[in-house]
Amino acid sequence: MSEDGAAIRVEGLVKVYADPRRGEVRALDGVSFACARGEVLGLLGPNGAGKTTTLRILSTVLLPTEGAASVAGHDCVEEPLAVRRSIGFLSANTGLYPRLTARETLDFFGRLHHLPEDRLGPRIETLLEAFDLREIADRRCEKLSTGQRQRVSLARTVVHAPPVLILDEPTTGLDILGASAAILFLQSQRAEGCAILFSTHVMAEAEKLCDRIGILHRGRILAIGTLEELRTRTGRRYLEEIFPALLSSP
Amino acid sequence: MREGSAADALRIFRKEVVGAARDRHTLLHTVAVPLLVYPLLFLGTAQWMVYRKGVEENATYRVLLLGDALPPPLGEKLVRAGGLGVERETGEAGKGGGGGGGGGEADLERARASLLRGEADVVLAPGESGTLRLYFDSGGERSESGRRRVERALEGAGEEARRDAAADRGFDPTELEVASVRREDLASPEEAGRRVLGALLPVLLLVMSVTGAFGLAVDVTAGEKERRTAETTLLLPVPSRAVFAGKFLAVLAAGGLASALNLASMLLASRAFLGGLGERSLAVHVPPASLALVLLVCLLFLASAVSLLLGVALFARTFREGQSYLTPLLTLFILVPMLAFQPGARLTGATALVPIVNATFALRETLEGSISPGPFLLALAAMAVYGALAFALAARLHARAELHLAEEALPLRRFGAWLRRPEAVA
Repeated sequence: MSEDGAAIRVEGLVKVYADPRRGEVRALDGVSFACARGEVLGLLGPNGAGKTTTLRILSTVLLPTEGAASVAGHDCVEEPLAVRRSIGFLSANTGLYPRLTARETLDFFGRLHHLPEDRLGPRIETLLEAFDLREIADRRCEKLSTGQRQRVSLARTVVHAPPVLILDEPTTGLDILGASAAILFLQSQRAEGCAILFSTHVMAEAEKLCDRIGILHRGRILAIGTLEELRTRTGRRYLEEIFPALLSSP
Repeated sequence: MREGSAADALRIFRKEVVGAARDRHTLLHTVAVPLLVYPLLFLGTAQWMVYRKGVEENATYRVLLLGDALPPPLGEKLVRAGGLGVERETGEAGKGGGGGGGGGEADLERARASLLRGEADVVLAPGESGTLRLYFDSGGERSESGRRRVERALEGAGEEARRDAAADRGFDPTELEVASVRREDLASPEEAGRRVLGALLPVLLLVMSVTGAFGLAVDVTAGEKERRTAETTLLLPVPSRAVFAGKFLAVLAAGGLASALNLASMLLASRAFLGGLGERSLAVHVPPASLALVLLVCLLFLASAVSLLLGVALFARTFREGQSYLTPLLTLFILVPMLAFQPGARLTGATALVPIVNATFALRETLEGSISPGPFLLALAAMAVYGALAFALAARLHARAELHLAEEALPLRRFGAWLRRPEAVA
């Protein structure tokens, strides 16, 4: 954790990259926020706002051009391995290895996170039970439905019980039941003290789940606060109204 | 690599091997092709040759004798030789050979017409000063075979005539020979067999080992992007080098397995094939120590080949794109050993340093059992150094996150920059 107890801390994050068609693109332009233990922070923004870039820097896949980011007290640039061991990361781009079974997937990730042998087996069984995967545990991931795959993905994200979860649109592709189950799962993780950074397009999800919400647009944080604070600031009640109001404000 | 990283690399290796064993495409390249296709092709060729030989021996070739090309007794001997249907044609053609000039031209035209129309496979006409002209068409299989048959028959008839003449005059016909030659091959059947293996196997072994590695090399790089698991792998809580080492080991194992299977099945096929040659005694036996050396050479060669395959395939976004990127490399791995395989070319201080060529010659010397220790050790050392260099460069490329995340074509002009300034993830 950082000195102020934040599990995730981002300060003045800038990411510039060269695009073959658009030239130099400033994907992030001084983004700052923090997320405490047991808190769910939602990042909202239109496509191209910089959500995925922010999450990729926090997960150490990308290096920032400027600024600093730390997760669970580990600097994302200086200690990338320690950061990756402290997070559970899930996005549409982190697919499951199709030729491994659900059980083998959990075993593989558990071993790479160096879970002791005597804890790994029981942990896998617990997760298979918790995510209702027991019946499909020995089926290859390529044979699973979208919902089943998402449940396996969530299970493998938390196999090492990380203190921080970073989730990029975790309910994409899920039906209503699957999405509700995912939301329930995130609430349970928050209750266990996990810091959760979460990006979504679904406003209702953000309203229901997030303790605070950050609105990201063109690489900048336009506003960040609780839903009540955002309502007060914009004078609107629902996120569908708050969001465009913030985008159009000077 | 540290102990923890080595253990992580082995976990990645195991996962890739499990995945490969469940992938039909990889199994086809790594197991089925090396094990079955080439030995089948090898035996198929042998069967085809035996079949062709049988067809040739049982065939009857039509021979047209123009004018007085052969006196009747000699013509009779041709017929008795078997497999030749002799027809004699008299007329304008065939009458001018002895004196040259116009008759020769007429014979040529008649022979050409007969061969073209398929009326004869071989045409014999009288030539100058009692010689014989043999017209045939080397572009036609029957005509070429007929020519050989006629020449053998004429040679036999000549031998018979010499024997008869010697008997009439009361002396031994062998006294007419300048020297009687009897061949004695000092090479043992094993040595002869190993020489044949040395000529056949090196190129095939190298090609098979690269082909065996090819599919998996594309699968663990471009295939990952296509399956959207590249970012999953980037986020694994292990150093990038350990991830690359795991993938490298898996692809190396695939290539090594392909080599071993190919070697085993080629040896068995060679025994079956070479044993049936009959004319010369050949024994196909390679001592276990030589087999171990062959596999060592294959693995050292593969060390750089696999890194090269992985490094290039990293730039592809889909499996198909990866295949098209690697195909020119595969061609290189096939052509270089074939071009290097010139008569008399050996492993020397210079050739030991040339990539691919050194592996080709090292394999040949090992299979033949004629290793020159100095150049051989130099070749092994060179292959090890090239392998280490190629591994280091490919691992550096692998550490570049943008190569794994790219959704658009990667500009190859930035290749040097990616190699120089690794934006390492870990």
